[in-house]
Amino acid sequence: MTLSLVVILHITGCSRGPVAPELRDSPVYHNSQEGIRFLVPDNWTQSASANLPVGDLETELFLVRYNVLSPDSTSQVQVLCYQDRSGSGDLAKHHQQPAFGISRWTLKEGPKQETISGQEGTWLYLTGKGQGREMGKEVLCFRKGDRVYSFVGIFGATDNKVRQSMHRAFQSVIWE
Amino acid sequence: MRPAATTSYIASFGSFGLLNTVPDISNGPFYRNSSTRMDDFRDGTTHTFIVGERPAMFAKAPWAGVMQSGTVRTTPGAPVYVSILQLAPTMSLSRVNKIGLNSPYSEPYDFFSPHTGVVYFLFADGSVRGLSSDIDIQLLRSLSTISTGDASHE
Repeated sequence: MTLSLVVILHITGCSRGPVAPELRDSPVYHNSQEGIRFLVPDNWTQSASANLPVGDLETELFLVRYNVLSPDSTSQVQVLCYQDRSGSGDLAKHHQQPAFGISRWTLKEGPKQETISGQEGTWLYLTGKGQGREMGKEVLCFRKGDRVYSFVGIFGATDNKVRQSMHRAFQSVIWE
Repeated sequence: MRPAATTSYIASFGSFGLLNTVPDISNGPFYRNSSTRMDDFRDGTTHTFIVGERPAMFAKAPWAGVMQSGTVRTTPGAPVYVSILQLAPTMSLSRVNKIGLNSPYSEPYDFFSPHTGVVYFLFADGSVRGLSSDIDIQLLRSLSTISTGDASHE
């Protein structure tokens, strides 16, 4: 009886609090809890990973971060998640807020709706000046219930090669 | 490469500065090339902790840390939501930021304890005291600094 209860609790996850995931440099990012997978280019190195808490999110949290090896050492990718209880919040406005050391991001392209693996997403491209240089921010957002998942790439604004590799990786997103 | 013994205790960098990238500047007792003297503890040695807990079950780092050419990672399975890779200074230094003790969002540069509800610290007067995980964050920041004129009154 006791053994059965332990097994059930383990299977349902009821016996566990937060558990730090392992950092993995695998060719596919897979998060079974959120139901996301996408292809990871060879020159991306995972620097952080998280399991989101269940229930309400108090703030925007990241799911995973990658450092991108490129001539521009500041290139990075993050997958972020926040809760939008209205279900219709302005995605462009959200991503224009201060982030990644840049006080204001300016929308340059989009928002543009696109269907990726059967799921409707919203593309944005923004730029901003930080530490004396122009940075680009490629963003792809998906709404799932009242959560908004944002795939965000940061790079030197002139580095089109890195931007394209981020774009391709974001287009490989599959929702399970 | 040889295996190295891990540490469960870490020096305090204070509450100000960029530990990962600029480990030379802080308001705590330890930083790169620090030479803090007892006279420097203007907040009082009883009101300043210098070493705190950070066990290997949370983040594995060698007991003799280095300031460059290395990283520290959250130990897989640690009781936090986030795994993060941080730079070499985090091997030997921790700091107090905006989150409290034993937060489920703690990162390797945070103090952390396997004990429930308490984190143990060595203070500059030689005493070891446990601080509640619910301690006010401003008080915790005050206890981590050496001379900001914010001596706490217990």
